[in-house]
Amino acid sequence: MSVHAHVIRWPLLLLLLAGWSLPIWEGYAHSEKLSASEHQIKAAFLYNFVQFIEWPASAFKDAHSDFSLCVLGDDPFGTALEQTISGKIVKGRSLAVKRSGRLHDLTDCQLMFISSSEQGHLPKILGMLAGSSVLTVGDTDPFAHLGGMINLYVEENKVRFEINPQAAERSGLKISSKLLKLAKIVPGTSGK
Amino acid sequence: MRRTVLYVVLVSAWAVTCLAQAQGYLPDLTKMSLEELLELEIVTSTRNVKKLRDAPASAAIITASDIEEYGYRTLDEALRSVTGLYVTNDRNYTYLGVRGFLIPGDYSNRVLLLVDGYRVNDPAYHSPTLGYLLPVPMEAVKQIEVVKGPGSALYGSDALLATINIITKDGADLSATAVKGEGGNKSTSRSVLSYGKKLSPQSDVVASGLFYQTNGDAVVKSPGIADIHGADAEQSYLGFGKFRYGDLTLSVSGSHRIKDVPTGSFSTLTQKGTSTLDEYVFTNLRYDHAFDSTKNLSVSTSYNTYDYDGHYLIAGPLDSRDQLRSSWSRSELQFQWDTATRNRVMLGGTYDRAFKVRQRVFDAASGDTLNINTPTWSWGVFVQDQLSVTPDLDLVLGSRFDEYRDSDNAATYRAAAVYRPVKDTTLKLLFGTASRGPTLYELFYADGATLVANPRLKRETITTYEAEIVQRLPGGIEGTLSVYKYKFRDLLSQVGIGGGQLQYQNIGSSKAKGLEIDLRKRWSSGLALHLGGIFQKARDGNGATRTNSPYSILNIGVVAPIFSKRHTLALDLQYLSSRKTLLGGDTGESSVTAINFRSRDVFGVKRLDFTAAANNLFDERAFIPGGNEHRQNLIPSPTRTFLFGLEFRF
Repeated sequence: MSVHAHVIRWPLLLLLLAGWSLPIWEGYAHSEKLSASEHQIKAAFLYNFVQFIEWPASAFKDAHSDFSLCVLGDDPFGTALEQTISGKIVKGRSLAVKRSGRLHDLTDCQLMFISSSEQGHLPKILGMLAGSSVLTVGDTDPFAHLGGMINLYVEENKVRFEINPQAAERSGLKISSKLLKLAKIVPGTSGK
Repeated sequence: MRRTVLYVVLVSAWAVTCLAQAQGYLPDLTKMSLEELLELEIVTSTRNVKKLRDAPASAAIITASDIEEYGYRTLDEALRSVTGLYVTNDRNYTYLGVRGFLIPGDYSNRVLLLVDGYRVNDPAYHSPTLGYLLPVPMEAVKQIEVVKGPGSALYGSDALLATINIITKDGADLSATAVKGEGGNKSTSRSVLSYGKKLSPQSDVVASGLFYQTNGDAVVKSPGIADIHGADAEQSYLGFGKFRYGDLTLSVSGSHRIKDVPTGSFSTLTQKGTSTLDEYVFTNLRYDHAFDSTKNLSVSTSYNTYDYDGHYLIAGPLDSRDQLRSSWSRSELQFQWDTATRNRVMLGGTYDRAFKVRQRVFDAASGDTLNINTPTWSWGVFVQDQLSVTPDLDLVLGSRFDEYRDSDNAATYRAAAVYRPVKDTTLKLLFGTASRGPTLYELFYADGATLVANPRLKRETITTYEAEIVQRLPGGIEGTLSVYKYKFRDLLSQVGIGGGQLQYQNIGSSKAKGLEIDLRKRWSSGLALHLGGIFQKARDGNGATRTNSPYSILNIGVVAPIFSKRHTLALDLQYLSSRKTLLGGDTGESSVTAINFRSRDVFGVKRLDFTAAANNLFDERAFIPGGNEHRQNLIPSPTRTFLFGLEFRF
């Protein structure tokens, strides 16, 4: 047993001091977290999209109905959606999360996240949602090119997003210029 | 022992104090602006949860797209691109140098390598698996995290110079079957088959296998030594599979590699006939559970084997056979708790048991010269606290205690302060200690001819101080400047003891200081540029420059889109200043240039990619210093290699 006795003491003292003096620091205001898992970040983006996009009043059943965020297909978020956004109030409505593997089970959605598990049926799903005031969000490569409105992708280990503004316009959704400025713009396919 | 108990009691008391102050805490990403979200690094490693530039360490990340664009085919090719790291290949194995330290004969045992958080360094030599010994094809790697400096306060033994964590892809990342075939000069072929799929929200499967074969250089020419013909071939197959169901992850991986040795090392004949075979198998079962957003538990257990067979050509019945048979397990528990909004505690423990570490040397004429089995064990506990004193200042304090069967106990520490005075600037002050015991090879190996055992070896320790500035410069350039000072005590190194014999000894202290600069920029057009440089001096106890320690290393990396982002050409250049060799001379300056061209959706076929690559593009004649076991004072680096490949995903 020949641990260097002289170096043991002062770091230990520091550790103890840090531990015991914690209550002092607890008074500080909340700070931003600097890291998160991919799907926590993507969930936070969904929350932000809701803030920066205007839905027509006709998109909701009535003035008191929830804002429904729907996940179609396998939910990649795990508990991230619940942790990040569920129960929050947006635009005077409370956010609710709905999930299903079948599109017709998901009614009254304002935001539809289409999981990568549905990649094979994307054109069909997007076709069925076209014209309704539902914001379509995905995270598969060709999503925005196929007429999806917002696609989340990963670049340099950070989450980025691309927007197909024409697809959103056709559905009567207004995307704020701030969101457009931060996005990669994907040109829409004409009329499809 | 009394001090051990005192230590454990004090650390536990401190930990309990921290935990007692626990309060519910939800990381609130919804309060972040879009701009801030766009800047967030995705975190995968369970032990390093911070934005890279604010990580309480000198860290670098190599992503899957770097691997694709630069065409890194082995781990060491990727690591070479990290500022301060360099690689040598003695045409038998590949070794990694960090910040001026790559001691001939050390088998890179001062670098800890983790795959998805589990340790792959073996119990006999404590070597990381570089080259085609890594059981994961680069095509299945999602990210490589490199932390320079000591990591023992978190990971225990071997993490003296760097800790490298390889994060493998999940089935969801691949979502395809991929077939890749490459071929080139020197009868080189390399093929990879991968499959990955997310089966359900609960389960995910991925598997990837690789076969590699090359004849190597037809002639190996070293100054002063007869040319050695046709003895540079290598053949490897390796693969890994990972299956996740809910919180449980099972991974199995392995590699098998045969290499002809064209250097006449260990007094063998200078002709084809000497070869080494290495075979690793790793099995790991892990349980990760998030109780809520503030508490994470990870428990894992593994069973692994590593076998080595060396066939050393001397003269028929005197041909020397060298063997290692080893099996070991590691069990690990780690608990992470955000006890308060600004405080994260990490606690854990590991228990390692090597069931068998049998080293054997024998030949037909005289039977066994060495045949010893030295099973061993060790355990360790660690605690780390990360505290945001103010929104702009983070403090990290960590400590670990380990007890070893074969060497002294060890206590290691780290302390870090990360300060962001203004938005684009991060300042870091880092202090750390690390240690490693002598390996079973260094302690007990004796071949009856060259190497003499030394069971009285002591533990080697390192203490480091580092300051780093990470600065976002005008024009979106990310700059990093680091200065560091390292001090080794009781450094373990192979030394000549007369009569042509060698022995591992604690040779005293060694000091190093250096400066690193790193600049990166990526344009929206897809053009990316990386410039890195290190200037360092590593000295022996008596002030002499260390062997194989370049004063300066420069890295240049460029990825350029050609016409569109569909085609990219990447250039990866490393320059090393002259290094001192064991026998006194020097290697002269050298540089390695690699290029990789990649074109997607070629021949009008979707998901069909074409690659063309060259290693040592200009066919430069470069040398690395030979080790004590080599006849050569200078070993020539491989000549130019071309590789052309096609990959198809469906």
